[in-house]
This record gives sequence, C-alpha cells and structure tokens, in this order.
Amino acid sequence: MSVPFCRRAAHQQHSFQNFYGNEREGLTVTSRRGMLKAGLAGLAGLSLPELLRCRADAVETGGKTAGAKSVILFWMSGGPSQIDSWDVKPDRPSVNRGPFGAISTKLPGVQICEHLPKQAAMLDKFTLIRSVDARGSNHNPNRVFQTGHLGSNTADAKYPAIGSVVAKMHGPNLPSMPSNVAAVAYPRFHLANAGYLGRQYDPLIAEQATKLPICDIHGNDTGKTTGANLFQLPEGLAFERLRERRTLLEDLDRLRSGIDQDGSLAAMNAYQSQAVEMVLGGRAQAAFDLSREPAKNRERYGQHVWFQQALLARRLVEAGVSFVTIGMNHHSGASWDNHGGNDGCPYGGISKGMGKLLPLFDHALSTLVSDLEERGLLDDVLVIAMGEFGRTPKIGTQGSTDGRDHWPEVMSMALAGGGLRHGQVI
Amino acid sequence: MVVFFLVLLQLQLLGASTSGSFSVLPAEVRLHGNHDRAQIVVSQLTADGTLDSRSQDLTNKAVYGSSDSHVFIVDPSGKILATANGHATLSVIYDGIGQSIPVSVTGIGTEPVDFLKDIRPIFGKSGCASAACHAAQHGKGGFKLSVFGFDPSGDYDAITRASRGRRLDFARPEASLLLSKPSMLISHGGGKRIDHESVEYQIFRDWIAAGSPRPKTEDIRLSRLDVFPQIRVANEGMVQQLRTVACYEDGDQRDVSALALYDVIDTGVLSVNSTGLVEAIGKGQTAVMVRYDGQAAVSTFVIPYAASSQLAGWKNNNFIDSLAAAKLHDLGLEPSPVCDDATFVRRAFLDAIGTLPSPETVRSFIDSNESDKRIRLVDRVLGLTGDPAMDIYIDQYASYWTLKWSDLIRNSSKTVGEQGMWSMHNWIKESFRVNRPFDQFAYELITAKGSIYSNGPANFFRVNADPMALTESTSQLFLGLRLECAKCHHHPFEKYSQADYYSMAAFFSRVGTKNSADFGPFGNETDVMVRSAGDVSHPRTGKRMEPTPLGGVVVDDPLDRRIPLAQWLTSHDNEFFAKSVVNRYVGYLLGAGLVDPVDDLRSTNPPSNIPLLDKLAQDFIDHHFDLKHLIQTIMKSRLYQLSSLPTPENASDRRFFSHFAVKRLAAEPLLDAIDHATGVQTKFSNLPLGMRAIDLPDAEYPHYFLTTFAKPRRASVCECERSPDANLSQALHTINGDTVASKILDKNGRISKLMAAGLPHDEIVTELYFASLCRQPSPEELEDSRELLKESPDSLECYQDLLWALINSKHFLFVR
Repeated sequence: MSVPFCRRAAHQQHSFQNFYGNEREGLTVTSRRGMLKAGLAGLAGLSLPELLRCRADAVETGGKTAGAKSVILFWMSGGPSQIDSWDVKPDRPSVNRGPFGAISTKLPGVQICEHLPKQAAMLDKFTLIRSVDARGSNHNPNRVFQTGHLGSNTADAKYPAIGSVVAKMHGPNLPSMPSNVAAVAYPRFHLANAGYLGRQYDPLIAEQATKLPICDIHGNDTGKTTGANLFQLPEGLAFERLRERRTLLEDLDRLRSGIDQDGSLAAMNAYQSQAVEMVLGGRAQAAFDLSREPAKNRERYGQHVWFQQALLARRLVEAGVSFVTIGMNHHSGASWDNHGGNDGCPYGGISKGMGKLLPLFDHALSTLVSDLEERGLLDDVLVIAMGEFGRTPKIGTQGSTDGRDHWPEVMSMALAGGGLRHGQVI
Repeated sequence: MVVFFLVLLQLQLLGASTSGSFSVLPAEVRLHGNHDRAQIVVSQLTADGTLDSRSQDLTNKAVYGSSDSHVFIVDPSGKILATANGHATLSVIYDGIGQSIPVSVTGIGTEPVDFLKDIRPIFGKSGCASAACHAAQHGKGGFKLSVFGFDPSGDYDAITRASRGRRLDFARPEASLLLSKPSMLISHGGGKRIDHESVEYQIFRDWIAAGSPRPKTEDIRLSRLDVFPQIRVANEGMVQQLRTVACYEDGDQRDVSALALYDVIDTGVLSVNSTGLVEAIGKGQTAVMVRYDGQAAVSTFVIPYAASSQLAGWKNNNFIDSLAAAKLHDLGLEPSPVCDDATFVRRAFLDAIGTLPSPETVRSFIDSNESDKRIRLVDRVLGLTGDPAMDIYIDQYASYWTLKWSDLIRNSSKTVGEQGMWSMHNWIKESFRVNRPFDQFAYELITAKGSIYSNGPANFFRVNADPMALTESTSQLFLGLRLECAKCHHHPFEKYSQADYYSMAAFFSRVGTKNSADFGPFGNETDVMVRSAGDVSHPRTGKRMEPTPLGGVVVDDPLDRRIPLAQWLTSHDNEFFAKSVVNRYVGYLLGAGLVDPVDDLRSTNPPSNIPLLDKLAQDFIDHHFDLKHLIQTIMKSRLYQLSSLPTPENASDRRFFSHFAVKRLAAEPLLDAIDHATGVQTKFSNLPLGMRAIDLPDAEYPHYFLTTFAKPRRASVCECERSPDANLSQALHTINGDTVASKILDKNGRISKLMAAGLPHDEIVTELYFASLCRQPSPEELEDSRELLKESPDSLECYQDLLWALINSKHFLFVR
C-alpha cells in the first residue's frame, strides 16, 4: 500500500480534505462509519453542549444556528448509469460509451455527460466520486446507501437510514422543526425508514405537509397536487379557537402542576407548545408553504416536481431541518433503473429513459446549489446526489437495445457544499 | 450484614494487615517478573477495629517508604514497582502510626515478557485495541489489531510481521514504530498513548529486545477478578482507590490494578480515572466496572441522599416494601406518601390491562369504604377473585400482555405471513388468557416444531431463521442477556467469549424448516423440523462447538438438542430466567427496572436493590412462574402505590422508587383511551369494529396515529424499540391531528350523548373528567368550566374545547 508522504499532516486536518484511493479512511462508503462520516461531515465537529447552546442562542436571535449543518440527499432511485452521467468514457467503443456525448467542464481536463451542462459549468462547486464501491447494494433502500449498512438486511425494516440516525442523535437545527423530512413520490418504495430506532424517527413526508405537483410515471405533470393537511386546522376550527384551547390546556395543567417536576412531562409541554406554534403560522408551516417563496425564485426553479422538491429542501434546511431526502423518481419503481424497457416497463433504456431524466436532474441540482451559495448557506449544507449502484460498462444487456444492467462494482456520486474542498474528482 | 461478611471474607482471602487504627491491603506483597506492579490500599478502621463498607480510604493520605529502593520503589499514591530480586519492607505511616509490609521480588531477569500477560493488556488499557482505533474494521493507518485482543496470534502477526515487519526494530528497540508512534516521538494519529518514561514503554522495549516472543500456545485462563472494595458507602466528595487482583485457574494471583480498565456505569454519581481512583461527584448508587483480559467485575458505591431517613408512617404491605424500605433507608431517601384513590384506580387499570376504567368503576371504587379495597381492585383487574361475575377483565389482560410479548417475540406478518402471524398471536393470547406458567411458555416456544400455520410457537423459528438469531433472541428474551457482541469478539462487558456464543448457537444447529406446496391444510406451508445432524463451528478456530448453556456444561439430546436447552433455561437453578422476567415486570409497573435497561442483566450492570431482585425471583419460582402472582405482588405493595408527586428531597431519585415514576401511555393504550374518552371507537382496516388497538395482532397496520406514537415494527427484541420519549409529531398529532379532532366532533360521541340526555352543565363536565382523567373535577375546575361556558358561543363548543384540553393534558397522556 503506497501512502503519500503528506499522510501524517492529514490526521490533523479536516477528515474530508484528503481522499486516498487505496486507504480505507475518510470517505469510505462501503462501511457504515465512513458513510456516517460523509453524511454528518460537519455535525460531528460540535460537541453536544456546544450545539445546544448554539441552538438556544439562535432561537433568541431568531436566526439560523451558526455552524448548524444539514444534508440534502438527492436520491436517484434505481442506480444511475455512471458512464452516462459523471464518469464518461468518450474514447471507448460505442458499446461502452453509450449514446451520449461528453462535454468539457469548468474543471480543466474533466468531462461529464452532455446532458448535464449546468453542472459542467459549475463543476468547481462539486466533488465527483467516481470510485464508489457499491458491492452488496441492491434496490432495497435499506441496503447500503441510505443506511450505510453493508450487506444483507433480510428483515428489511432493520437498519435505520442516516436521516433517522440524525433525527435521533442530533435533532432539528432549530426547535419547533422536524429533523428528518423526505419529499419523495411513493415514499414507501424509496425510503429506508428508521428501522430499529423506532418509527418516530421516520422522515416526515413532505407531501403530507405541503402542496407538491403530482407527475405521471413518465415525469409529465398531471396538474394535480398532493394534499397538505398536517399543519392545517381540522375543519371548523379557527386559529383563534386553537389559541383559546391552548390557554385552557395550560390552565388545566397548571391547576395540578405538582407532577411537572419530571423531565418527560416538561418535554411534553415543550413539544405541545412547538406543535401549537407550528400550526399557528410558526416556522414550520411557513417553511413548508412554497407559495411564500418570491415568484421570481419560484420561476427560477421551475414547476416540475423535482424542481419544487429542491426548492422545498432549501426552504427546509434554511428553517432548521437537519436532513432532507428528495426523490428523483416518478413512480413506485425506480426511474433510474434503465434496463432498457424491452419488457414493457416504464424505465426505458439510456437514451429514452435516462435521457429524459438528466436535464431535469441537472436543473434541480445546479439551481439548488447556486441558490444555497447565493444565500451563504452552501458551506453548512452538504448536498449529496447518488443512487444505489452503478450500471454495466457494456450497453444492451439483457437483450435490450440500449439498457444497462446493475453494476455494483462501481458507481459515481456527486457532492456539493458542506464546507468541503470541492473541484475534485476521485 | 452481608456486606460486612463479604468484606471480612475478602480480607481473609487477600490477607490484610489490620494492626493499629488503619489496615493495609495486601498484608504482604509478592512481585514476580520485570516491571511487576502492585497497588496498596490503606483504609481507616472503625472504632472497634474492623473494616466495613463505610471505612474511609487513606491510600492517598498515608506516607510510604521503601526500605531498599533497589528492590522496589513506591510512589505517594501507594503504587509499588519491582526493580530487582530480593526482600525489603514497605513502611506505611498515617497519623503518626506506622506499619511494615514485607515485599518480596522474584523473577526479574529470568521471567520472560509474556505477550498475553504483559503486552496484550497494554493495548487494551491504552485504547489501541478499541474499535475506534486499531481494532476498527480495517484498522487504522494500515495497522489492525483484534477487538480487545481476542485474536492474539493475529495481533502478534500484525505487530511483528505485517507491513514487512516495519513496526519492530530488533537492533534498536527504541526505534521501533511500536514505541515511537504511541509515545509521539514521531507523529501518531491517535496521539500520545504511552509515555516514553512509563512502565508500559519499558515492557514493550524489553519484549522487542527479547526478540518479541510469540504468545504461548496455551492460554492462561483467568477465573475471576477480585476488586476491593466490593461495596463502599460514603458521602459526596469521597475518594477511593480500587485494587484489582486477577485470579487464575491454576490458583495464581496477580495485582493488575495498573492494567485493568475502569468505567463508571452512572457517571452522574461517580468518576474514575485510569489508575482506579474513584471520586463521588453526585448522590445515588452505582458501580465501577472493572475489566481485564476478558473478565469483568464491579465495585459498588452508595452515596446517600441524606444522612438518614425516617420513613415516617411507612407500613410494609409485603416483602417488596421491607426490602425497598431498607434500600431507601440506606440511601437516606424519604418516600413520597401513598397516592389518592382516583390516581390508583387509573394507574392500576392502565398498568395491568392497558385500559381505562369505566366512570362507574371509578366512582364505586372511590366511594367504597372497605379498608382493603385496593387489594380487591388488583384482584379484580387481574381476574383473581375466582368469581366469574367479578373477573371481567381477563380478555383485556390477555390482549395487553399479548401485545407486549408479541413485540418482544417480534410476531409480524411480514416475516411469518398472515397465517403464521395469526397462529402465533392466538397461541400467545391463549397463554395469557389461561395464565400459563411462564416456564412452560418459554419451553413451548423454544422447543416448538411442526406447521407454522397450526402451531403458533413454531413461528419463532421463522422469525429467527438461523442459530445465531435464535441464540441472540432467546438470550435476550429469557435471560436478559445481550449476547450479540460475542458473535464477533469477546463480549466487552461480560465474561462471555465467542466460544460461549457458538456453544449456545449449537443448540439450534439442528432445527430447520421445510417448505412444501402441498403440505398442511392451507397449502404452501412451512414445517419446523429437527434434523439428526448439523453443527455450528467457531468462526475463528473452525472448531465444532458442543451445545453448552452459558456458564454450564455440555448437554446434548439425540432427539432434539433444544430440549436440554429449554430444561436448563427454565430450571429453578437458572437464576437469569426468573430474574430477567421479574425485572421486566418491575420495569413495566414501577417505571424502572431493578436492573436498567430491563433486558440487560449483565454482571457489570448490577441491580439497584440486589436482595429485592433475588427475593422477587425466588418468589416467582416458588409460585411456579405465575405471572399474575408476580404482577399482583408488585401492585399490592406500598411501593407501587406511592404518589408520583416527588418531595424536594427525593425528586432527583430515578432508580429507587421513592416516588412513583410517571409513564407516558404507549401508542395502543393511548388510542384506546382517546376512544374511551370521546366515546368513538376506532375502526381498523380489515378488522371488525370493536377490535381495539391493544387487540391488534400484527405489527403491520398502516395506521398513522399508531405509527406516530411509536408502535414498534417488531424488528428487534430490544425493549428500546418502543421508545418512551415523546416527540414533536406526536404532540402535533394530539393537538392538531385528525384522529383526536374528528372523534371530538363526532355526532355519536360522548359529548353528543351527554348533551342529548339533557344533563346539567356540572354533570356533563364531571362525566368528561371521569371518562378521561378518572377523577372528580375540583371545585375550581368546575368553576372554571362554568366560566368557559359563559365565554363560549355555544355549549357544544365549550364541551369540545374542554374535552380537547383534557385529552391533551399531561394527566391524560401519562400514567401517574
């Protein structure tokens, strides 16, 4: 094993400024710890008391917690082909190269797929990891990449997703906010939930809290939106009445407040206040309400569900959510699972299936990263885009014309923000 | 008294010198080999010249001297280091009085440095072989050790051979990476672990200089660790030096105080440093866990809350109370008074059957003048009166405890299918309905075979599909032992090794399943069967493991290996079985286990009240593992009937039951309670109306309320899967969720019925209080409600708001 000389100094530095291909240290997504390190990057830098103090200060000033980190995960359900996205092979024969061309990027000498021009123009803001070992991963989101757990997970509710670990161990960056939110169509199929941590750490499903467009399985807008009832008062109940009820409840509890010396009761009080606050036009309701975003910015993101999800993700991390998963998928199956579609499934091959997804994904990801940067949030928000595994180097597998089969041996993923040193290809 | 004898016994064993006003331990120091060390502990004697658990530690106050510093040296904290062979005397002076302790040193220069005895403990003590460092999955910096050194030969190769042997330099031992890295003479990612002037450094150097001899093939077996003191009662600010002696199977003993690892269980009470010096920083009772070479022991510390407690007005209802009172007295804790009748009736119903009592039941209980009415109530709730007209809660009892054990056994249609889930559910429910003795329950479960659709317990072997999963589940369910650590390496906090784990797994090596499309009445069935062959082997040594229960001897059975396992498990001599069950039930009813967490009965997690756990377990055995007997014994105790209102003095106590611990209602009883209060029954999809949340057989119900309130998925045998902690979305759900809102508004609900009956305001309010909080509203509360009525646009809104507030009040959401 060759170890560069600067290895020693690396120990004193940020763990993610150096990546060694052969060294299982730093970002090693085959191990749970590596994955956690990647996912939590900056979170670990603060001790718990510090963190609590930061949060308390932030509440007083009403602002976002200084140094509070969050993660936005673009979950590319199905396993996007690395060769047709971030790891192009323009010099290979067409059987490997695939149907798409390669374009130059802001990073000299680095090329990516022609359908990702917006990312290419700002690739210095990204780190591409082309060497991710995804062996052991499969479509089941409870395996490997959402949980960081390598290997089989037969009782498939077992291992918690990283977002749920964050929910339990870290909580929200600001009180009265949920910590773990997922904006994913068909969440049942695309999310690893909290597993053994308990359901209360499952992500809050954004579709239940806000209006997001509903697309058909090909990604075309149906004109319908999801229901939004979580922060809405039950029918026939006005804000004023909830406020009065709250007072009534306080009186009732105060009359016999003797037992309130126990911590669990105090906690319940705090949660109840937060819940009322959330409902009565508090931070959460505002953050989930996309209509409050200035029209100009809404137009900049666009109307497609993925764009709206990206916008929502930004609003949520800004308001204090620690982990947001957004689903780059259109149906209960996996949109990026581009086997070729000869069997009549809607996945399509590379050109017809993936070709449609790439521009949408490119716009969603690049707009979010630019927006975060303009708002000075990028260093505090780690953006991860990845799927379950890579796809075969050879095209036309399983009798398809231009499909690619699963290829867990290698996959590519993209990172942005999070205070990392970007502009690297690993 | 017991403690006193233990200490005396230990003194005899270890031979302390006790002349004068203080005692010195040990009475004679024998050191053997290079750099051998010993810890001296000096204790103040009581007025009558004895040593007891209150004896003050003088180790750091005494003055030490060596009669010959060529033979040994001693530091001010009583640590002796051998320097040359010979005999000398240690002088200990305190308060003008002196004592002499003979010290003999042998084996220096002749006893070789031993890998297992000398080198491996240093890796453990310095943290090198911890999972965060070189024992990580892929090691650190290319250097990988086994966790806690469980693989000596692998570690030996990693140190001496791996990376082309670059870690050792035999010509210049000091230049070895093994020395220069941890002493930070060159940069080390893990920082400074070993000082280059320390004894550890010398031992490493001597070992390299001697040509780094291999570990001896035969392992020296440690039989136990002796820690002094075993128990110490003292006040905040106390310091105590621990002394740890390793006892080997060949009778040899060695002072390993400097090599053992020390950890405090409850860090709010004690702190301990790496040399075993303990300081009391808070009040309560906890233990220091001492680990060395795969063995673990504890030293218990009691730091009373006050000098004494009067226990004024305390009366013992049964043995629980006398034993608990003794502990409260030791700790200087004054218990809270007994709770009122309204609180008791709600508590008893929710704890025993997960169901709220009807307003009539509450009224008649509160109005009753019988002196033993609480005892009668417990008997009625548990169905122990023997009168069918009175024993009307047996069904709720069965449902509630079936829910509990289905969570633990992990009955779920996801793993065993709809048919299997129902068959398992019916068996569990039947067991609780007839109050099947718990040993029989465990026996049937562990030895079950046949069709999973017709024989409920057989599904246990589908839920846990391999010998490893079966071993872990069985140990955690019925022994309260979390064995899973020992699957991959020696258990870090226990004496159990990988060999113990796989010897247990061997009991399950011959049970398998057979699938058949035609088999069974429903077709497509799975049959659990026992094969005539099949073994498990040790993953590291490859050795075939003989079926051996934990801490027992090899037992086998030609027909079915599980039979001797089940016999051992449920035998009266197996202390863990009864203890784990009674501890769980103490936890369920009193809010905290005697051992906490309730399913972690490892030896290094001692109970808060040892005699009470012992006696409860014995009583449970004596009553043929009768769960209802156990529950009623606890519920009839005064301890269970204490108020949850803490006094300022006992408010910080969470473990000794000085006041009743409030518990949040779990998901299912909570939903049922909301149904009860609002008078609107929840209808579960695919199940008939009338089925309550506690009746649900399966983990798989897509019910948003239950999900939010942490109904477990039954993915883990751990009690922790059902989190007791509240969270934001739960509060959101009762404050603003559809479930509560629609039930309050329901036109056939309680409010509508009360209003339709034309009852006067006060009676409606009283009824709502009885249905939700099980008590009469106070005069102020009634007055406030009249106020509310005046302010409300109409009376319907007034009662809706009131019921909403009652349901969201802490008195409703908690058992108190």
